[in-house]
Amino acid sequence: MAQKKKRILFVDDDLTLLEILQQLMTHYAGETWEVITAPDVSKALGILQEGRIDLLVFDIHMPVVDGVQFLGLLQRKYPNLLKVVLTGAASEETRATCLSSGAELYIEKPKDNGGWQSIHATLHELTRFQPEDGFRGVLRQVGLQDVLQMECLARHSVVLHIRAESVDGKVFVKDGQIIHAQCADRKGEEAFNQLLSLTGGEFDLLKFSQPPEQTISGSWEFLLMEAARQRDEGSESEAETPGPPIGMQEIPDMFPVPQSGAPAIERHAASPGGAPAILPQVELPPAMQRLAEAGPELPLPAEASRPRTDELLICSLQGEVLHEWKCANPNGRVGFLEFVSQKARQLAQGLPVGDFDRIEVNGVNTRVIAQIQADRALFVRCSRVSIEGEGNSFGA
Amino acid sequence: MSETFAPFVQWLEQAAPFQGGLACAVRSADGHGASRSWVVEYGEDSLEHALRCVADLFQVIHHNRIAPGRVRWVFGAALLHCERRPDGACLGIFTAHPNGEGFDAECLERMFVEFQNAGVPGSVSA
Repeated sequence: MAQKKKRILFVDDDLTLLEILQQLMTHYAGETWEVITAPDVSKALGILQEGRIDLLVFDIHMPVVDGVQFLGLLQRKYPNLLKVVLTGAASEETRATCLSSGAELYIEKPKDNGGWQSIHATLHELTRFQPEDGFRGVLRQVGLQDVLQMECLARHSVVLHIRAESVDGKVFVKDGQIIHAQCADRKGEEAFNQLLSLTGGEFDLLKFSQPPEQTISGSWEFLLMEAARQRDEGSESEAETPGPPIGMQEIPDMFPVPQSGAPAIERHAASPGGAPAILPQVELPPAMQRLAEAGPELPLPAEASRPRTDELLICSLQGEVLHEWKCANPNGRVGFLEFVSQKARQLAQGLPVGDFDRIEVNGVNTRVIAQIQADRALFVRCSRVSIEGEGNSFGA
Repeated sequence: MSETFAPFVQWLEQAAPFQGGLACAVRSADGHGASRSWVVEYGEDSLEHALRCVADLFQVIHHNRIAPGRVRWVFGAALLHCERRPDGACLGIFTAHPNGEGFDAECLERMFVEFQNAGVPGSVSA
């Protein structure tokens, strides 16, 4: 079977370079690439909206919207699109900024044709690791709550058809208000909460049709909050049942102690002056709640020192900060979590490593954990301090 | 192959399998890569691709002013332990997950020490 051509979009305000790129890349790629070019960001966005693009390569220095701004925009709108930054004047600072903002590669423009051939080989290699068609990596980030929120905010009229293993239900949205839900023999809020408690399945957005009756009249914001609360309560009771930990149920110890002869690890309640309690309006999964409340009173692995929480941030996978404590640069931390999530997804391609849970950065006296959950992400930075006084702390 | 990368390849070729060790890979600061797999599922291309992600992470960690150190990627079925040398070379070692068969932590430590010393004049493994 003939392989589908990869669609590669090059964006640069240098029209001569675009022409050269079109010719060279088509020559190197033969029948495997369709090379598309755009002279500015607005044309590029138009092309992206029109159809599938497998790889986007763009100049960092462009008028009106520069490459870093463009990258941020792309990361929000097309998080799974492979993005490569091309520059005439590379710097380590810009390279790190671009990688943090979602670029796969940061490449310096070559001076000769041989250099362009290397770039073609690199880009070709990159496209080989692109996820296949479908929803890989997307379903993890889109929950029913998000879909309903978007439809309600946009004041749409739709029917959300939800199917899971043994469940089939519908939620009716009219002019941005949830007016009816049904699931088997349940109706109204009971059916709505049952559907939103599902952790996996499929959904379709169908054209609106009148429901047989109107069973819901409350505001959609309240309904979604209540459903989230009930779902978290459900997961909490599940966590209390014996069994192996899954995902966030497994809280990484900030400073784990050696197994042999080590004292049992204890978690203490938050103390005055420690991490404040989670904001009352933010509903956190029980495991995150416990970690957040643990604050500085984490296990004491060494006699002369104790761990201290220096910074904490929890955000949604859409980048909304749900809670932060002593976080000097929340946007930077959200960007870091997005980067970790993206890299973990790429790293796992072709390797039987299973689902990603977290990274741990273990320094001499510090520990950072970046954990990606199905619907939230967590950043925690801790340091080890001497019992007598303040110890080392590192990081912005 | 560059002269600076040769010691890594030599060291990697001699690296002995250890309990729970699945594969390892090295990437130099100038982008050279080499890998060694002890199980068939960890292919060379995927390992070198993984190390590129690891190298990117170290750079972003530095950019975010997070204290440097060993990075552990925790997946459901495996762990990836990584370190970066002062010269920018990165090592990644995949091991089994502790919830499964686990891995020999002493051997892992020894590999990191050898990696840090590889090609350094006067070191044991130079």
